[in-house]
Amino acid sequence: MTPKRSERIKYAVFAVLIIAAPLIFTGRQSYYVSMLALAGIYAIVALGLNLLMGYAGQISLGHAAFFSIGAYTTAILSTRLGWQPLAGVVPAVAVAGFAAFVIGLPTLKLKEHYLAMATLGVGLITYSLIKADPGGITGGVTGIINIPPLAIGGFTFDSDASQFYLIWAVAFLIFALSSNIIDSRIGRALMAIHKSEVSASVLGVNVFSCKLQVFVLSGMYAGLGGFLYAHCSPMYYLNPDDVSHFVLSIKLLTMVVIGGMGSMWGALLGAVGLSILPEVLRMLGSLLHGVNTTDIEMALYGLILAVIMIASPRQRLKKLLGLDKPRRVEPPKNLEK
Amino acid sequence: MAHLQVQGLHKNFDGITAVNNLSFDVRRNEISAIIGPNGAGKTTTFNLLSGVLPADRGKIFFDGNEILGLPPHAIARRGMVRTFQAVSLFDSMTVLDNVKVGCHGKAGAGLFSAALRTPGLRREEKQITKKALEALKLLGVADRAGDQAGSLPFGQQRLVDIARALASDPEMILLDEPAAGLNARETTELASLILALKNRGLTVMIIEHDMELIMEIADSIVVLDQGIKIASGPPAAIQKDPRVICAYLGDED
Repeated sequence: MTPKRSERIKYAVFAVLIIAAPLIFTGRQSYYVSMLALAGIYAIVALGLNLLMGYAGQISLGHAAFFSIGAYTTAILSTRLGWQPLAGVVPAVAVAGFAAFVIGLPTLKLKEHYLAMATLGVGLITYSLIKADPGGITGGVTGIINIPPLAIGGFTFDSDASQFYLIWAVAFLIFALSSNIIDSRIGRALMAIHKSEVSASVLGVNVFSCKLQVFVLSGMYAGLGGFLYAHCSPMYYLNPDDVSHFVLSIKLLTMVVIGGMGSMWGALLGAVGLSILPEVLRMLGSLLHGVNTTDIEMALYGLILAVIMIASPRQRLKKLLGLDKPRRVEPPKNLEK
Repeated sequence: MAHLQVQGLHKNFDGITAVNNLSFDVRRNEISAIIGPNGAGKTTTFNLLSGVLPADRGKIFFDGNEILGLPPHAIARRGMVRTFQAVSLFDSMTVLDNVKVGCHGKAGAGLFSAALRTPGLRREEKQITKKALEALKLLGVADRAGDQAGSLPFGQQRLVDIARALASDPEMILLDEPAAGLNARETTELASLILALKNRGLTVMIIEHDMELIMEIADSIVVLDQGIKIASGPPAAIQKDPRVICAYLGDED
């Protein structure tokens, strides 16, 4: 089905903003371009997490694990084994997806809190393993340096603007693919599972298989995000605190929650909003000289989550704006006889 | 051969026997009712038949094949669907999308064809939309297709609930108190609807407290009391059965 007019306008605005951003922020402001490129990477991960949490209602507290698996897989292949950077995308996504499969297989049979606990544990274990580096491949606390930038043909993505365009082109594609999934048999099944697993199952939905598929898919998105991060990170450098820390998992989760859970555009805006938050905090911090804003950041995520969970302002906001009235969508007429 | 055969079905909850060595047959294309006082084990029986609850022992044959132990979605895909006493539509989805979920088992498109919107997927989606609209039309609620399911009045939600179960073209449907909460006019409409389902070739099994409705539409009745089948047969015989009267009205002395 072709997207509705309002959707098409949103897509157009989205595309225009992507094209315009590096043209607006030039010279001394080009720092913002790399910040927004990072936002694009988070957006890719948040879109996957939104499919899992917002649509299917399954909570992951450890998505940084899949992100770091993708990042480290490609970083190790390109620095230690001499792979072409671009070739790392397949193993990065595949290994992250496989990790999700292995974790999902035993836990998704159980109710949602077990997945939250399992992913929390896996996130912490992944972080410790990368940091301890028992196999001598992750570089431990020092991380991996000199990761080569991506190159296609003769073109190397080593400028802020080129990385920005690459990342957001991928994010745009992921957004479109995810919207297609939502608007399909699988997407409807995910939403049905969210409301009632029993109702979905007696209607013929294989609940476990659907949950596992979306969990693996979200793990693959995170792996893709990690792949892009490794090759586009500032200074081409990876370390466990940046890509596999629990704070990143919570940050990703907050992006989805802030976006309203179950809204593709919301997840996108949530990712961008939270990505520029540290910058905003830094500005405020310099006003209150000497305050370490990274400490405030984590507290702020907690506060945002708590407020949203308790007050559910989305519903209130809708009521306030009169948008809570029953929505009517025209059913396709051409199919009626 | 009976369409549904239940043999020695048994279910305990923490020492309380909810369904006790229950056996009955439902013939193809008949309307069969399960009646009995509250706590007789009627809904538990449906939960066992549909795979929502595991049974302690017994056998269930649907179309001659053993289905006990299969997960609910597998039973639904074999052609036996059910509704619940408490209507639980996916209320933030549209009515049409709710019914489309009912077509899930009949379609096969996976994540990749969905993400890429392949021609095969588009065809399948069109087919699903067509099927879902047909089911809504059959239930007389096609005009609400675009509405958010949660916004419908209760009576219409019940109809959408049944439409959703019928969207997969099942052979048999289990209806758990479909008349509960409906007014007199809606109940009459429901009765003619269930008869229409029978005319379309479906086998219907129904749990209902509305005796008038049951006597009017049922071909056969199974009476449960405290998990035990105390009587079964055509409505006329059941009405006169002293054990049934006793279970419903209590002993005179």
